[in-house]
Amino acid sequence: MSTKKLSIFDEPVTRRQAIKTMGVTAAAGLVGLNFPNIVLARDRMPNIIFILTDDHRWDAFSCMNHPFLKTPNLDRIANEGVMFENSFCTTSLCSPSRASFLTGQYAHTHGVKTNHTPWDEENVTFIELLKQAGYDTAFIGKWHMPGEGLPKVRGLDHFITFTSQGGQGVYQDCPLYIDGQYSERKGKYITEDLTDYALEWIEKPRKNPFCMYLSHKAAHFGFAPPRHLAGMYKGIDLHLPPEADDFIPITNYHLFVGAPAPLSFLYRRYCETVVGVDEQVGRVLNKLDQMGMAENTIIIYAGDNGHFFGEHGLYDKRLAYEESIRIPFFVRYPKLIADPGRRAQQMALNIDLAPTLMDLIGRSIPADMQGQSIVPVLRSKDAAGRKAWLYEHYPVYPIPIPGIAAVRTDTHKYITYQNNVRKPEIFDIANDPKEMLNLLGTPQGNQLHGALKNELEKVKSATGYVENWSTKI
Amino acid sequence: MEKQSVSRRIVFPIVLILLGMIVALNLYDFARGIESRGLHSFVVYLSLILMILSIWAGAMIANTIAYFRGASFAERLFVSMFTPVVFLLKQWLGIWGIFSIGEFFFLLLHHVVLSAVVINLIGMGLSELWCRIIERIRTHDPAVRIIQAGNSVVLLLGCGMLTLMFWHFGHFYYYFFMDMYIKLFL
Repeated sequence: MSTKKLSIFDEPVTRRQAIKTMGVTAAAGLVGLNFPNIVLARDRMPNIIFILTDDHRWDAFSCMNHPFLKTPNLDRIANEGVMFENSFCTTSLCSPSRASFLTGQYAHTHGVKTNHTPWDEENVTFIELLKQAGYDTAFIGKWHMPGEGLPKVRGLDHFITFTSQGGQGVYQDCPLYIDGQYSERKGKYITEDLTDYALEWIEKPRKNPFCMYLSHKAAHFGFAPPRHLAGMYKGIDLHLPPEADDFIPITNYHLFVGAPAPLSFLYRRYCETVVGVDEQVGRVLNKLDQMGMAENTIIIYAGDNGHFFGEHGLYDKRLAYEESIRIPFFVRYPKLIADPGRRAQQMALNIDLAPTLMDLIGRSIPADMQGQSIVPVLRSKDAAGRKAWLYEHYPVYPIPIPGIAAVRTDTHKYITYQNNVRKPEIFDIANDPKEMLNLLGTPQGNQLHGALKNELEKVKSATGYVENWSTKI
Repeated sequence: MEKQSVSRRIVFPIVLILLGMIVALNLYDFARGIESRGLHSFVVYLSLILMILSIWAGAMIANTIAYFRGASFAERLFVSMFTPVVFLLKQWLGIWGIFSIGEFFFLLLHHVVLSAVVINLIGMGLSELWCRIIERIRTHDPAVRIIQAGNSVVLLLGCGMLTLMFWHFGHFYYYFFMDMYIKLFL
């Protein structure tokens, strides 16, 4: 039999391939032109990897000109994608922010107001929606939302998490629940251990696209780098802010936060822990490269909230100042982003993740998602961004920080506190990015007050926010 | 021991330690506004030393003064606990207006609120021991007992509470406290 190749549109094909193509085309003609799209849609749908870290500040990256941190792998995501330089969490606390990423909703909507209020299993997550869209789904890592036993997340094919220390986990020897089975992890460092499972999931042969939610314990308090990185920044100038001193974590209300160690020690360990994350993210990126999946995989890297390391004389988070509410938010998707390395100035929020993913896979965005898709910004640097958004915080017993409702516009911030326990504040972010001067009570502040008050009411009303500081279950 | 006036045996040690705490806390907050790094550090360390002496070691100093000025055990206990209780109230009142009345009172069991009192109980107990040792050496009076009911109770209570609160690096008490809180208030 002749094996001479025929040529159709300069592509060499065998006789058998030509007959097969004609047959498929004829069949497609019979069932309508949409048939190939239906068949191929699943193949074209991108894989999704969402990597969430804990307390990772927006500026703790070498690509953010950090004075000494080296994060080449995390930088790679930013440099090959879009880095949202103005990205924020709507509540600066682990559990509420995590629930916001999953649901696309504010804390007052999804109900996880603090680290003590449980996850409502009626909440719809983007994982569930992606499963319905034909994705294989995995959640690997920190869940950290209270509830009875392990959460029952609809739509999850593979679920690895931990419950020790109230769901915070520990850096070394952290026991895991692997699809409900308890597993001792002696000798394992958690960031590496979770990444091992992530790589295993990526490698798994499958027909469907996958969505993997990789949620690290790092770089939360308890800051502990892997052994080979411990001490790498010993003796280095940490460039702590001028108002900082070593005793901040053990003075004022910080005693309630529970980090009884010198600030410089904590920050050095924090940075070393971040390098540990960078190394493990590098393993994920390398795996995608090796498997030829990097082009058709959306990688999103984010942190759940910011962290103070001495700014304003503060440690920890929760408050509405920039260091606490800013988060890293990088999106890498070569098929969509025409100008990689762009630094978008439009404001992005944690609640934007879920609607963005829906938009990226061509699904309609559920009406109860309160975030908005940032796909237009991924496509074009000129896309319009939001003008203002609501920040909310609920009191966490026994930390003496009152409830907060604030509005952040692209130039200003207006912060109000529960029962006026603290005086309201107005900051001109554009001219005073470190928020050193509360304008309220000054002629400039008084002039701004009315408009910002209206803006706050507007964002409250738009999101269905009703003042209720109670966190009772 | 000669019993001196109320102002010398009670008021003076209280004012000395309380003033130390007030100066220390304000000096620390004031330091944040100092632009010179060197001066900033100096003021911070100075305030920290004052904080340690007044808030955490205040009872040792106050009790020693009161003891050698003839204060009774009850008076010494009052003198020793005055500043820690003021510090406790400062911490406690910090949550006023944020949580419910029940939660407000429950906070009195929190280890941060209690810690100054607990540590100063130990400080007072230790001070009692050395004051009695010094008195016995000075007076050669065998009737001066180094260990007696009062200082033993204070020392044991302080050590017991400290052990409970910081057992397993404080995790045991913290999670016990929070579990109780969740059961009672959430």
